[in-house]
Amino acid sequence: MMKRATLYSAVLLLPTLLLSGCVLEESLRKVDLGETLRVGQQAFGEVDQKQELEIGKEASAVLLGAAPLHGDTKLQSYVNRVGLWIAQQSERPDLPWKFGVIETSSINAFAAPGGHVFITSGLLRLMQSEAELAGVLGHEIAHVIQKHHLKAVQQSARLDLASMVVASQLDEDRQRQLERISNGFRDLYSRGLERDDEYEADRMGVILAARAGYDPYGLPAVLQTLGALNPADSDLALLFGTHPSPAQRLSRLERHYPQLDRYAGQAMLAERYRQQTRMLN
Amino acid sequence: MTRRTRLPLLLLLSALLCTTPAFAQQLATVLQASPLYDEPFTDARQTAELAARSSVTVLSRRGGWYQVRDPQGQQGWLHMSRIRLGDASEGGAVDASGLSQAQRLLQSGRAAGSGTTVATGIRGLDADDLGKSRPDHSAVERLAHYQASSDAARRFADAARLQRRSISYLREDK
Repeated sequence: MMKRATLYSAVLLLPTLLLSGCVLEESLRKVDLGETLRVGQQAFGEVDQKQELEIGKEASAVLLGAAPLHGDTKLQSYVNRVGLWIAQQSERPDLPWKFGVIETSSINAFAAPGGHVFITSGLLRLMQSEAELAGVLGHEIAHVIQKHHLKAVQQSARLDLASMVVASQLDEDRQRQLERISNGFRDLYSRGLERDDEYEADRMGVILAARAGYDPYGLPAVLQTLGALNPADSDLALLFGTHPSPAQRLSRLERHYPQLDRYAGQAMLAERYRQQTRMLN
Repeated sequence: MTRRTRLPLLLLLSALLCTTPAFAQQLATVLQASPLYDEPFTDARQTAELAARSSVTVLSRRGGWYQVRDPQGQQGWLHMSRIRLGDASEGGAVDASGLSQAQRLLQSGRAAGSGTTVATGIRGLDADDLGKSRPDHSAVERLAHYQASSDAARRFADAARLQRRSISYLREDK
């Protein structure tokens, strides 16, 4: 009965509204339907691969503006060869994957859209094998594959990334847009992703390492190492402020250990890791 | 090579390839009462029983297993799920790099926790640095110089006999 009454009143009202466009516009503004639609489109607007790459470059520029790339070419190319091999076992093997070692005492790793992955020299110094490196890179590669950062920036900063990167002809406009993207990532890297995104990247990271032929326990081993450190150390502040605790991450992964045990005999490559990272000591 | 000599060699090789030594006497805490095994397998011989909350020293890792030594000097293997690295009584006393404060100051010119840096030292990277970051596009361009080719990545994997495998992702259990 109610439904029918509502329908009748709508039918009766419609011509009135149509007669006066401004009334219609006014009523829409009241319920803020326009805004709701706009935000909805922004949140789900698809970004194509070219746009994703350009956004990823802006995000990377923010990170590299905060701390420089490590100057050792051998170290950089080591991490790139290991990283690309793992990324090629993912669902997006053909992205132009680029890996960078950031020179900082802080212990962390980052991903940016379009296949950019960074790891700090502080974290490299803590690790004991290439399998551990593979686990950490696998975690970051998973963020890229799942577009965790793109989605987070689109939602939180309400940026319509897709339309923003479609080059506006005016340089000034474009500059302003890129700044908004930078600021979105500045906030995101400081605040961190959703916890579920981190847990998902952990689950995918161990498998990506195993697909690439490594012992899948590398990532859990790194989390064990991190859990033993003094959480008050300033070098852990950003990592611990943006991720679930190592203990929480380990207890989530532990449920899957029986599945990982099948591949636990795979390569750890402790000696190659020591050789390739010896310039850090 | 005879079959008889090949097996010990293979075992030695796999032990070399698949173990990380050089834990600098890392302490760990046993989470729950757990058997200590003489090999890193659940069907290996049990050599001792470790009490919950007891402290052990970690000597090496192989896959999901840590080789540990208990306070009585008994050595054996424990699965990673039974243990947390760190000394529970201290709540994690080691400095982030595993170095002493003095060593650290020598290496980086920076004392842990002080948040201060000296001109020649390696800086930290925190939320504040991100807030003040001036995007460095030339550094982003430089990344391309280090980029590996598909061939280089494959050759490097081949050199370590890394074998590609097809494995499904783990499913989240609700």
